[in-house]
Amino acid sequence: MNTNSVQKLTRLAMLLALGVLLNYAEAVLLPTALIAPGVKLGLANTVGLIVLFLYDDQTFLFYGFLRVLMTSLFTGFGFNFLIAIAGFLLASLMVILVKSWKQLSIFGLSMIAAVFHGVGQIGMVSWLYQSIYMVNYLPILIVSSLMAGLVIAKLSQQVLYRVEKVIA
Amino acid sequence: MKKPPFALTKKPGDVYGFSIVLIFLSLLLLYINLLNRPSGDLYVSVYIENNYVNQYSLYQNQSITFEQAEYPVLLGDIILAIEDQKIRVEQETSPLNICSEQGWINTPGMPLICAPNYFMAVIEAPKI
Repeated sequence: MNTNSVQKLTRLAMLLALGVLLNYAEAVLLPTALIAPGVKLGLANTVGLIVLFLYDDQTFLFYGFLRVLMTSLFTGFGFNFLIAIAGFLLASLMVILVKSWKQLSIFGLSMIAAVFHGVGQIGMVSWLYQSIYMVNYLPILIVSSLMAGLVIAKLSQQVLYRVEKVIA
Repeated sequence: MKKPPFALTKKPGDVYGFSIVLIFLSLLLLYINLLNRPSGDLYVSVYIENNYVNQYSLYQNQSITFEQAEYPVLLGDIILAIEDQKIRVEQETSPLNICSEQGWINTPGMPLICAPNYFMAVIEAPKI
């Protein structure tokens, strides 16, 4: 293992720890589910966007999967895990897909990720509860995702401005 | 230094891309709702811990109690009220009481979820 791969591994491990920590901290400190079930800011997604910017698509997918897995160690591997994994998979694949179009900035990508995270989650809930009517909850989630996506993009942008030169 | 994979400042593509996604999702939502238009008498289906428990007519006013003794996953007894084709959770035990504060609902498909109790009630209808 050369110095670069050790460096990458160490950075990713720290980013993963940060992502898990932000996810957990948000659940405890910002219980936005009070507004409506499923509505959240998704602070940990800032780390996801940073990973996508600094590394490649595979690393981004691997990081996201590990984050969901490790967060589930706190919350359990029941319904929440299935819903989270569905949201993560759809959001990540859509982001990778639209990124290849090269016409979207961090703001567009973040909004797409947030919206499709909600779509994936609703899809999984509909499947688990065998009720297609769950999709009627989508408009609420889409509007909240749109706002959350913008906030997350702005945060990631500001962090990237500061760390880009240090890490690159 | 390698070329960044995406821009950090807004681009016109953001608006176009997002508009396309929104239109697609709106059409999908419309299609699903048209395809699954309710017909016939509505009923309330109750699920506890993802298991179907029972269904109740929406046209008969009643209060149904789900006892913790029968469903240990519940944090306390849950009372589901059906009145004038609307439903609400009248009584439940949870830290934030979100589902009882949600009040009455009458929209098919809009679920009443008491997450800490793993309880869900949803108005459903036979599909066309």
